[in-house]
Amino acid sequence: MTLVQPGTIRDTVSDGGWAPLQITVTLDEPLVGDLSRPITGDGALAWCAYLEHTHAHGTAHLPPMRPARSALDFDLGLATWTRDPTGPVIDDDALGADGKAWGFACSHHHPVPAALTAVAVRRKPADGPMVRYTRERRHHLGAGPHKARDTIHPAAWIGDITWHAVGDPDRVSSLLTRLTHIGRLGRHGYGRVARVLVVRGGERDAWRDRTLPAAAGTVDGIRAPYHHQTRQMPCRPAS
Amino acid sequence: MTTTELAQTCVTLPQQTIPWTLTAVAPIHHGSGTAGNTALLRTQEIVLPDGTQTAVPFVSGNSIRHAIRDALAWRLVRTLGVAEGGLTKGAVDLLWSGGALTKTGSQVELDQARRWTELVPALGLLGYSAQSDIVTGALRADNLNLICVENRWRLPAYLAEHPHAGLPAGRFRGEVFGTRHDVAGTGVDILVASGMVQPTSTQMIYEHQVLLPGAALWGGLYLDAATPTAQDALHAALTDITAAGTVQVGAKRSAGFGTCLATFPAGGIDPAAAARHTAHLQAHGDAILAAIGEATA
Repeated sequence: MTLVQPGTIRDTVSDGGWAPLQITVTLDEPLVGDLSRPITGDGALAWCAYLEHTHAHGTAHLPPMRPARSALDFDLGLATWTRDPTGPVIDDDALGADGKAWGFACSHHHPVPAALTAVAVRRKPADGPMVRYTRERRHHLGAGPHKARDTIHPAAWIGDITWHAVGDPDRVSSLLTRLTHIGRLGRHGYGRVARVLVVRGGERDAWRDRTLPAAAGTVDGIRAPYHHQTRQMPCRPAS
Repeated sequence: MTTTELAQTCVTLPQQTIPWTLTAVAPIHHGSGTAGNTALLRTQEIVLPDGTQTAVPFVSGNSIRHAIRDALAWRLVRTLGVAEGGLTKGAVDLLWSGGALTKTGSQVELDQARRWTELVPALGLLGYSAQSDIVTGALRADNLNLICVENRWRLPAYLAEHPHAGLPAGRFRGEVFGTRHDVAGTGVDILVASGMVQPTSTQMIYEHQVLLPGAALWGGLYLDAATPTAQDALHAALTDITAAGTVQVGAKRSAGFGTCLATFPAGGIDPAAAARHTAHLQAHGDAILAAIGEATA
């Protein structure tokens, strides 16, 4: 089963069955996205687990995400940490066993740009087909919803992305075979993943370089989907 | 087509990878601005493994997506026998350019999107904007990158021994010119009404930076959790854009630019997909046109 049952998660970081892992991802196209935000390893794995699930069952198998209900969690092959919630609980299903907030033992990566660049996405107006298939008298290329566009997005070449985790190397490696791109405009070829390397070893506590609940912290996400309000609470940021 | 029927078609949604290599048999011009009267090649700034930077020409994945969308739009209007003048501007924009947001609202109409993407496979394949929703498609199209020494570090394994892999990108760049013909001083002048004064000259040389014939590019097309109808749509589009035995990329295609030989090293186009796609369009023609109308109302 790839889905996590609500209310079942306990702290398993110290369990001997999990191994410390170092995950390295190399991109061969520029990354388009907000470089001020960390790149989350468990976020990438959650996307891969979603693809794995839809491969097996189709998207119609999953319920839609709702703002006031906990989002689904997938088994990512990672150990889990628990903490007391530091913010209001919107849905108990978002909590682990004993009412604890929880997340996956995987660090965040802070991208360091090797070079800043920009990518352009163009929207070509369909003038020819409009001439033929509509009865409109004119089409304004510079105004209105159907205008031509050449949108420039800031992008960056970044070095390798490294995540430290505690988990099952086989499950993590299997999921990451589905990691095709990171960042925005992946459907236009950007942020393409060229290589993923999962190596057993490293410091067992290195996963802690991530957001974790802290009463005096700023509101941030604790696990994927990071934007979802049931995942947000005061946290201390990664270092 | 009901939601129940749609769910039955969505049993498994595999990921598919279609790598392809294009070898130019005509100059390719994929432009980005001008300098004087020279249209410049679009380039990608890249960082090499030693940390130095350079720029290499490429053909954008964005333009490949447009070629696929364009092919599917033409197939749809031809298959359904859409009359000239028979569509709204919004419908043409949806089919050829992916549509636009025309309303405000924060509620995503899931069932509606499910129905539209299944009825109009191009929308499920490429994504679209309609009313207040932006819906992601299943297709990812790589940029087509030049096989050259600057890109050697990111060449896929099957191209590692390509003869161009050790050559600099500059070896594959060139410039071509065209001439806008001036009728002044030719027999056409006799058709000009007497008393009119011809401009001194309308002759003009224009130039394009190009990738030279023989240059090779590689990329990939990927389907993430695509429904069977979206998979067929991709293969139908590839069937259409390679129908002449070649594929055209970049600009100035009507002037003979951009013709390439395409090879698919991991197996190519499903030959039966185009017929299945056409059968889908024929079977649901009225519902498809109604859905397009609904999406662009």
